Amino acid sequence: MIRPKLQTVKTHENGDGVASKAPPMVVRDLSKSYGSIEVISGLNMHVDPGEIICIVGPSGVGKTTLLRSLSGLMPPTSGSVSVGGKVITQPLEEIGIVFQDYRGSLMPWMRTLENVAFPLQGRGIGKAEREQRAQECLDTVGLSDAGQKYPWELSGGMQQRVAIARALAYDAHILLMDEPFGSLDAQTRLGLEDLVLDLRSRLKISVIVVTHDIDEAVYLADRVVVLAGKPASVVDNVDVDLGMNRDQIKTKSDPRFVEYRNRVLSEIMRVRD
Amino acid sequence: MSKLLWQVFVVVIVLLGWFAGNHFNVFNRDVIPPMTDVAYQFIAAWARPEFLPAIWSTLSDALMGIFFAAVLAVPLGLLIGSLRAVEIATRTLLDFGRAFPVVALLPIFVLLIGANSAMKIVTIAIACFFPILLQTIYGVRRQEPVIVDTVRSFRIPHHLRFFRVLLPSALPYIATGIRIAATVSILVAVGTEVIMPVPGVGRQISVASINDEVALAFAYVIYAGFLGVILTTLWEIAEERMLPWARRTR
Repeated sequence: MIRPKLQTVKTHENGDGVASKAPPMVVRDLSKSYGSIEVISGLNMHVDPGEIICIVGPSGVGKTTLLRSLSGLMPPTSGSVSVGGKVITQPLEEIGIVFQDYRGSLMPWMRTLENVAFPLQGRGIGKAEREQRAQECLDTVGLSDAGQKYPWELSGGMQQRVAIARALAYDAHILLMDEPFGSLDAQTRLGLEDLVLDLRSRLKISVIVVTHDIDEAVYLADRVVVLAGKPASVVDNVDVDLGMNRDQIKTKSDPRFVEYRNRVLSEIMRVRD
Repeated sequence: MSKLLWQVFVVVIVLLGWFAGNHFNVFNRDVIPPMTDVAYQFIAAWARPEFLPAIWSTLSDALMGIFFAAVLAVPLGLLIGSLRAVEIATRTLLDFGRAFPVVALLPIFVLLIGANSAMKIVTIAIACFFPILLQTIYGVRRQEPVIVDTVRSFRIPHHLRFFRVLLPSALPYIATGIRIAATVSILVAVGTEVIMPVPGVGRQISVASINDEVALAFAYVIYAGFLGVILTTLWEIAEERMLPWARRTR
């Protein structure tokens, strides 16, 4: 598999000694206003290579606005988002986005394999190579046999896997996920959470997950960024020291997990009152 | 299945009502001929040498009209729909065009082209042009916000965005425009044939009325209606085949 983009990207080491290809992301003094209403004010955060960051906050706090700014889809009113030292002004090749609305974000007129391969076509990669890469990414998310199906023939969880595969095929080193599992049933959701953890440890990518589910945030994250206030800013950074290998039952019954969860929850509750 | 039964049931009721209306002399026979006479002519018409050519003339000219309308309206609609400023600027003109009674232009067309099939096709094409154009513009404009974000975030270049995103997502709307045009085409074809001396089902309706064969005229009117229904149904089947995803996602 040829990945020409990778050769130009420096390899970064994070604290755990994992070599990650992901460039670091730094958000400085980010503010965003819609007209006279300021949604985000002076927000600072960073994502180290290979880290999973979960952004939590009460609904309506501006999580989606933040994610759109991080992705380059929407310019901030002031401040900056930089990836690998460069300030972003538009969507980057290094960033793959997984939208909450998987049903809407997959093209219903394309088969699954075409959906995953489509962004590569825009990069001028030949048909055979992009289909091979798309198939590999479908294999990675556990959908080896779904390539010839249409998205609407798949379950919600499978569609979201396809969306993840598409972001991976695009060669994203940073995965941005906006409430990715919000509209899935509980069991499917747990499976996809484990998929995200698995992808990070295998592919050494950075993952940023916006979620309102605190359990999910603590379970996935190396660090939980708590967003609160009107306008919103970061009120807490919780380092989640639960190791790289997590288990839905063991990790979630770990006293430290409960401690982290309560800390995040009380942060959100405190600001709300 | 029960839906189909109900539809058949309603048709039978109407036919019975028609039969009863004549049987009990509620209807004036010179205005509404007996159902049984019309039914007889409906079958007997097949034996007439002018019957099949008339049907074919109406049908083929309608299809030609739709074809020319689509060939012009679809590309133009894609263009207007993609350029926001043009779409806003042309809105009033297009609303006017949609409401414009094309049949009123028939005398001018006869002068310019003559009373022939070409004139009929031009009239049909103009009438079909607007529904297809408006649906195409609507289809292009109606982009799902998530799709727009997806295309932007994956930096899809313009030409790919047009052919693999914009066009496919507009196709169901274009198909709807053509379905509307299918109905319009038969209406305008038959209308033109009734008013002008051009061949077709409408011409036969005129001739039969002049000859005082009211039942035969009615039979032809029913055939004209069937042509519209058949054309629309065939198009719906084709649509389901060509755009299998369109129905499931909306």
